[in-house]
Amino acid sequence: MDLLAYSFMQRALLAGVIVAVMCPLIGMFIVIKRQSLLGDGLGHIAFAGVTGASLLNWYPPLGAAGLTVAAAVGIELIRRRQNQYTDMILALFFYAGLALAVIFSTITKMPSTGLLNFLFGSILTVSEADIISIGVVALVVIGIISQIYSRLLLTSFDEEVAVTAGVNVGRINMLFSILTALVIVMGMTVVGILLISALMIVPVATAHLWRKGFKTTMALAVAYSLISVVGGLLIAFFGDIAPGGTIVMTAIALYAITFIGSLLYK
Amino acid sequence: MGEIRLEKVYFSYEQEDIVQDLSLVIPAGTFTIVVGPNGAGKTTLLRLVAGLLSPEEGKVTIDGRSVGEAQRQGLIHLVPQIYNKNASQFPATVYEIVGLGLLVQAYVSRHERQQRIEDALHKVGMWELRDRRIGELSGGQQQRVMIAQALARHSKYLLLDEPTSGVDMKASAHIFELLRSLCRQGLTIIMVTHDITEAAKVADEVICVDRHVCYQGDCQGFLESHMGTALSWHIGG
Repeated sequence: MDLLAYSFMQRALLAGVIVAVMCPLIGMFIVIKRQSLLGDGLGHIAFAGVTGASLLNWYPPLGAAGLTVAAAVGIELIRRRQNQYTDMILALFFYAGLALAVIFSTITKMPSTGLLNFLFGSILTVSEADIISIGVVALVVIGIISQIYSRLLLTSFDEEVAVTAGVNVGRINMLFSILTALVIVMGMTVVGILLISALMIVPVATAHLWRKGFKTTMALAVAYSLISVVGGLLIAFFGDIAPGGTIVMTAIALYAITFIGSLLYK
Repeated sequence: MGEIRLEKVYFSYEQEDIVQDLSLVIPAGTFTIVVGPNGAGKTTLLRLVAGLLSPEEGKVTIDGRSVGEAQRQGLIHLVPQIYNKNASQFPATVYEIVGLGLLVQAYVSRHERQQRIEDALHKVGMWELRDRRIGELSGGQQQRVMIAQALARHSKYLLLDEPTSGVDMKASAHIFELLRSLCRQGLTIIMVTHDITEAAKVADEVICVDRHVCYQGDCQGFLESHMGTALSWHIGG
């Protein structure tokens, strides 16, 4: 294919494929823990991190990573004390992130192009250094998930059952929140801060329509995510559109098709 | 044989005493039901044994070990309540759900895991439905799957909090019969319930709690001496 002759497109596809695998991997657990707002909340904190880093003349993704991981720790600590109000706690962080981003970007007078790149994704400008960062984060996240997989799964099923089985639920939840924060920062280059959460949730929601077991659902979610990212990138390339929108709309279209298919199949 | 032992246990929540000077022994291999009025500390007692709460004073031991040690050794298993949405709507098949508890248990080979899941599903009569999603099952079937999870782990003590809540009478009777037969096979059952008359037909012993133990003994004796009081809990008296 001609478009693969472009090195920027090769980098875009590579970054996209890595993010496409990572997002549903985390999203699967977010959905079963009924914390679908977590991605949105942390995404907005990442936006504050990007603008805050610009204010301090730091590398923006570094600022995003620092603030998002700190927020993830904060959310988890507050959730332990007010477990029944998880949605409300996420909303608080969501608003705080957005408000800080507005304040920081106004003070720094950040150019709108830079802001838009972080908000809607700039996968076609991914550098080799970005690929290396994304790859390292992916390896770290996969490594930790594989280590805690059984305990995370049991904790997501029922925290009290996990405690009686000797699982340190607090530690597992904390680690999972931090991993979510890292994947959000990693994915913001591809689909942008506003839509990264969608790539965590929509493919998983589509996979759920098949009503299969856990492992099959996860495999289907990754497959839907890959199709969404590659398909969305191609549409973005040929239509000269920001890839975040095309990737998420492809994922939504896949959901709609699968939903209609599931109704007909019934 | 072993036992669950609570010695002079105190627990309060938001400065209200829930459990006061509670001492009791539950011998292994028995089917014990825990009854009492609302807010009397029945669930707190179960959660203290499960290690979800720690006593402010006194101690809880299981087979002479601390609760934490018993957890790590897989001795106890808390059966999840089916009205817990996360558990009953979990996107997994019956087979996967039963295997969940085994995943965190060390030194269980893949072959042994498969064998244990199969045995557990046969025991609760759910083998035929192993590929169905848990959310597609009735309340009674879901409860049997949750019990199978404990069987697959080979836990010695099974803790249940209102397992027949939201389940019709026929399914409730099936669950009680299943628990009775599991007890005969060596499992120790401790069950909080409001369904005293039905549960008493299958249990060995009843513990009546009202912040402390106000009765511990055989079911028939309890029904004869406390039936009027027990009925008033049902009608809110």
